[in-house]
Amino acid sequence: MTARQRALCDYAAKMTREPASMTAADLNPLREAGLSDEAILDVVEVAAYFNYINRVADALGIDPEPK
Amino acid sequence: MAWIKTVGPSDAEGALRAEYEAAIRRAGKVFNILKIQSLNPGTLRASMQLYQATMHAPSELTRVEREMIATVVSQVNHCFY
Repeated sequence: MTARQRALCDYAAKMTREPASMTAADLNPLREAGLSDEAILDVVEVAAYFNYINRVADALGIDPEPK
Repeated sequence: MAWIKTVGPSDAEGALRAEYEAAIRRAGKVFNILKIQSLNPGTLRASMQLYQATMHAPSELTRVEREMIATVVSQVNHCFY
C-alpha cells in the first residue's frame, strides 16, 4: 500500500468510527499525500455516501447478491 | 429476505421501472441495493445519482482509490453487502 492509499484508508476509517472527533489536523496526511481541497471533498463524499448506503442496507436486511 | 416489501423488475412501473432500466443499462442487472429502496423511487433515484456523482464523475481520486475508501467504510461498519 502506498502512503497515499494508507492516508485515504486511515482517514475513511476514522471519519466512519468517530465523525464527531474529526479536526482540521486529520486533513494533514491527505494534504501531505498531495490531495487538493477538491480531492479531499471527493474523499469525504465517497466515505459519507458509503456510510449512508451501509445503513440503508443493514437497517432493511438486504440479501447478499446471488453468486 | 429483506425486511420490507420490495418491487421486483417484472412488477416495476413508472418511475421505478425507469430506474431499473437505467440500472440494467449501467450494470446489466438490478442489484439488491436498488430493490431494497424500490418503495420510494424518488429516493432511489437520488441515491443512484449521488452514487454516480461520487464514484464515477471526474476526480483527482482514481477509481481504485474510491473503491478502496468504499471498502474501508463498509468494513468498519461491518456491512458485508
